[in-house]
Amino acid sequence: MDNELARIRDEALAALDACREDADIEALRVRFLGRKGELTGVLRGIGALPAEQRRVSGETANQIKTLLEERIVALRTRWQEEQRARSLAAERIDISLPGSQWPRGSLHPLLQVLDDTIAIFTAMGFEVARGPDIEDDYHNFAALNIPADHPAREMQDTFFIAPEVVLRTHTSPVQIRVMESRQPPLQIIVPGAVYRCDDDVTHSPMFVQLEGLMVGKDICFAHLKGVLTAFVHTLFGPDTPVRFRPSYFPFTEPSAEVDMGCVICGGSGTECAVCKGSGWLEVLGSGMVHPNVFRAVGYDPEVVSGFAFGMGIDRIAMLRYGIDDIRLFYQNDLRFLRQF
Amino acid sequence: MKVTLNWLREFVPIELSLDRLADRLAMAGLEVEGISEQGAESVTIAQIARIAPHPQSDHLVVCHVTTGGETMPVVCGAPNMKVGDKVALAPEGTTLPGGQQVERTEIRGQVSCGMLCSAAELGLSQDHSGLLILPTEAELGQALFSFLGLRDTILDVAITPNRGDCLSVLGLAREIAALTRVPLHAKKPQVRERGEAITEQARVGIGDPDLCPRYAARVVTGVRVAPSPTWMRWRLEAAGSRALNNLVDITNYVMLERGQPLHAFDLASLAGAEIIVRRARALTTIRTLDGQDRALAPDDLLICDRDRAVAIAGVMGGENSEVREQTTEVLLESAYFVPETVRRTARRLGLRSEASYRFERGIDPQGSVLALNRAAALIRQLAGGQVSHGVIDICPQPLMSTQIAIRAQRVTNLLGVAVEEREIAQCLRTLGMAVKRERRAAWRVTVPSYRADLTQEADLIEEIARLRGYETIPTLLPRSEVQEKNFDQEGSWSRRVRAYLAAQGLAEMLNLSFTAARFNALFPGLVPGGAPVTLMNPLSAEDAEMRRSLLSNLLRALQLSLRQGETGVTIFELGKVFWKGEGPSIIEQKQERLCLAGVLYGSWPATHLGQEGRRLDFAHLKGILEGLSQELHYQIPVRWNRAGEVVFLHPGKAAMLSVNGTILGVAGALHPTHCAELNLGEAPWVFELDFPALIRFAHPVTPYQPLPRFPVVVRDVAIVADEELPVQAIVDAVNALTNPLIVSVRLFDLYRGDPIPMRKKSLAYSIAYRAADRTLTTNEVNTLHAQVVAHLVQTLGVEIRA
Repeated sequence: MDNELARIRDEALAALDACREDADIEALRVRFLGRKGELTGVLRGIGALPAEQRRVSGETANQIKTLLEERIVALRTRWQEEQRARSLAAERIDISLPGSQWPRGSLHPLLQVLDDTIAIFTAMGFEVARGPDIEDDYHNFAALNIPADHPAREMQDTFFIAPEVVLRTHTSPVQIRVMESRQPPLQIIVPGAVYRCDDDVTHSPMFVQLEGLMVGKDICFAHLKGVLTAFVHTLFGPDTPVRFRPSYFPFTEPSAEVDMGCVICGGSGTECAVCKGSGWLEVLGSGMVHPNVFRAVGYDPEVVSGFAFGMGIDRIAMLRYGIDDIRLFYQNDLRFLRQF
Repeated sequence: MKVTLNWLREFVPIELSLDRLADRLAMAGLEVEGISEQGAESVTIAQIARIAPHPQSDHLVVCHVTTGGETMPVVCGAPNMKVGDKVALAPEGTTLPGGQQVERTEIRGQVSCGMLCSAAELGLSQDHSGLLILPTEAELGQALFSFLGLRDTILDVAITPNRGDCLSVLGLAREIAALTRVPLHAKKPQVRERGEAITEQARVGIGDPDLCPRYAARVVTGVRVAPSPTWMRWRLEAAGSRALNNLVDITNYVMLERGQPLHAFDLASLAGAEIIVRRARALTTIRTLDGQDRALAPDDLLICDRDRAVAIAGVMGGENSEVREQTTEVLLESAYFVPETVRRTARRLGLRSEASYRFERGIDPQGSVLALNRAAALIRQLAGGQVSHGVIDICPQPLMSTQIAIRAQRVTNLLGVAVEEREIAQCLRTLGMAVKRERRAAWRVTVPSYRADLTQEADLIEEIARLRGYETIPTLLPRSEVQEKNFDQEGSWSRRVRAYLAAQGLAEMLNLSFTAARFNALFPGLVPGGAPVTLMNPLSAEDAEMRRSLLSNLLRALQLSLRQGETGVTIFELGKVFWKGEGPSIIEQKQERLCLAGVLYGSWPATHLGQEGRRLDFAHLKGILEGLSQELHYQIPVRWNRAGEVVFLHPGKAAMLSVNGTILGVAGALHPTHCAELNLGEAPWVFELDFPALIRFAHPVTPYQPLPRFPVVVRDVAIVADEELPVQAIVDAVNALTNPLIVSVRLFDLYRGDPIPMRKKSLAYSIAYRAADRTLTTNEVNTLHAQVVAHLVQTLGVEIRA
């Protein structure tokens, strides 16, 4: 009996080694372990053996059975792993193939900068006010301390709709409209299109401005410097140098031009075409609201004070993106717009 | 304002380096926009060592010249030089003041190392009869223009409109003196008078003192009109002024130096030797110095003689009284004209002169006689003649000086920095003001007559800040009080809408608000009737009107893209449109509205390898707009109604969008005639929406709906309907039942062709049923579905496909 079991074990292991595919294993399993299999037959015959031998042979037979079963599982597992490895090796895609993308649109670069600018001032507590593009002479000029026949009118070449009706030359008339209808304290910004009869590399007949106004009981020039410095630092980085230079605007007194260190040459100046070698770039006009402007809207300049500022968003965007021709913003060339 | 450094130095010592000076001026509000050199050309003093005949020419010679070292040959055709003469050598590479380039050349086989120059070639005089022969003491090798004292530096200073006082050498010198705390050398010009009294020679009357508060005059007789000396012509040229003759040049020179425009009349041409300053009163014409006939308006201020106008006050002189070569007697005018009148006239005539520029900005009313004396003295010196005794100085009203009260507290409050009382007074005095203390920390300040821009306290505070430097003011953030603010609805929604459309593949555009009249006619916008808003002074006919519709410029942008070879263009713009409605005046007639428009043309690019790009069609247009109403959380569905009457849309492919009767806008295919007009091969799909109407129905959020607890049961129905029946009619009919068990109706198939009869179509809809409180039984659903189908057959007359 023991010889018989040893033979079955040897033959079964040898047959297992010879297995080449899953069907071979199945045939082997049937031959040795199946209901009519050789080992099954031996196990069935064990019952007829004397008790002592029955125990020994039974144990041996069961060990062989377990061994075979384990070997079969191991072999199958190995084969499956090999199979998986083969197919993983075979199933390769070219990851350099292009992606499939829904056509991407774009937002206009100027309006992106405007959005950012509005967000910066909104975070500082300014609220947005808007007004008409077509303005009367009073709001665009006279109320802003620019009377008729004043040389300052020449600073802004005006498009006329009628003798007393103009396309606003700045967003400042909205200051007047807001102050006419509300009482201080005020903290507003005014985004919008403005118009001047000018057309060259640095001037577009329409461009986008952002105006700001803060009026209260004790607003001073130091606050103007603080808010505008904070703005430049937020938009262009906290290390950007900022300087305030006396200038003239009819609606502010004192007035200041705000320069920032040239973002192109880093302020080193030499040979820079953008800052023309000065190391500084004009980015904003500003000043303390002129007492005549307060009087025009019925505020008492002895009681309230405030500052105002304005900037060309085009200019800010040109500096931000390194664009040298303002007209690109309004030509609407898709090859340009899709870059943003 | 262009001014040279040496000219400034006649009035103020300048110790600072050029860069420091420019920086100091800029930080005081006078930006130096350019610095250039005058007389920097490398023309050198040389001596003629030998003159040899030119072998190939009778009239040329070869001069061998030296600047101290080796001699070099220069071919020369001038007749007047001899060996030993000191001459001006322009070596190769020199650009002469007139712009002529000197190169190394061969002239008829002889090498010429540069050029020997005439005075005319050097810009020194009109003399080109021969070489400029220099005095014997001229040092060999020295730069010619330095030797002649013509080497200078030109500063180009930007003067803001308020600082008319800085439009002169004296004015800038005054600023520099104040900024650098050095004294100004401003001697009062003196002139030696001889001969007759002026009152015997001329008379002056002011008819309209409201426009001309002061008119001063001097007479100089026995003058000889000739070219001005070189130094004067060079200074005028540095300032950007053209030299003419000594008399005219002197008036310009003194204007540049002192800021007072002057005019020289040929006294012999003045009828009655008389000057009357008055309004034109009637429409008349005058021929100005530039030979143009100028039509005058009744309010224009004129200078007249006994019979006629001889000058437009402050703007330009008349041809009839100008200084000519034969002129021997001149009347010099030095007046103060009211800025507004000069500006109005100059502007209307489109005639801007250096004089009008200064009068418009306000000159020093106290400077009239000083300038007159300076000019008369120069005429005596440079044009001979004698200055008649006395000055005519008509000034009907005494000139009042401006007085301003200023308080230290106000300075501190406005600037945000405490400025000491002593410093305030000192700053103002430095700027030439008389400062009188009125009470503690308060002064009364008398402003100098040349500072017409200073009229109130804030002006003086700026002067103090400017003089101290803005950098001395601290940088502080205001203490913020939290307040309730208006929320920017328009901005918030516009950002959302723009971001949505960009995500849908559309590129945002920003067009100018102008368009051509023919485009406004093609695209009259959303509001019928009304008229376009037109510009009085457009840049061109293409930009003569304000756009009534965004589509005109978007479609022009489409044309541009197509020319560049784009095959698919999907674009949008959010911007204002303009038109004129009813109203008593233009400002009340004009209307502005924010609109949202888009254009879809051609195909989407292929998104997948091996696939074709998809042609853009109505479904894309509608899908984008349906998505938009979802993006805006519309709670009420948008109606799409046929709109055959929209002129720019194909009548069969046009929709009017509305919500609860409010029109949102239109969408559809561009009309074939418009396509032809714009040279578009196929019709773009376009939309234009009224933005305020669009956001009126927008909600920040869609309210939460509880999740369904019971399953949905879907039944399909296939319908054969007339071609004319809109597919939406079926949906509307089902919804009209308002049965709470019907969840949704969805078209999922549309089929035409066999076996469906001609002019019919087959439509397949899925209808979903669900109850909120239980699972519907099959029987219930079947019964309900049968009712729905029967309803459709009954109300719409459609057939059901088996």
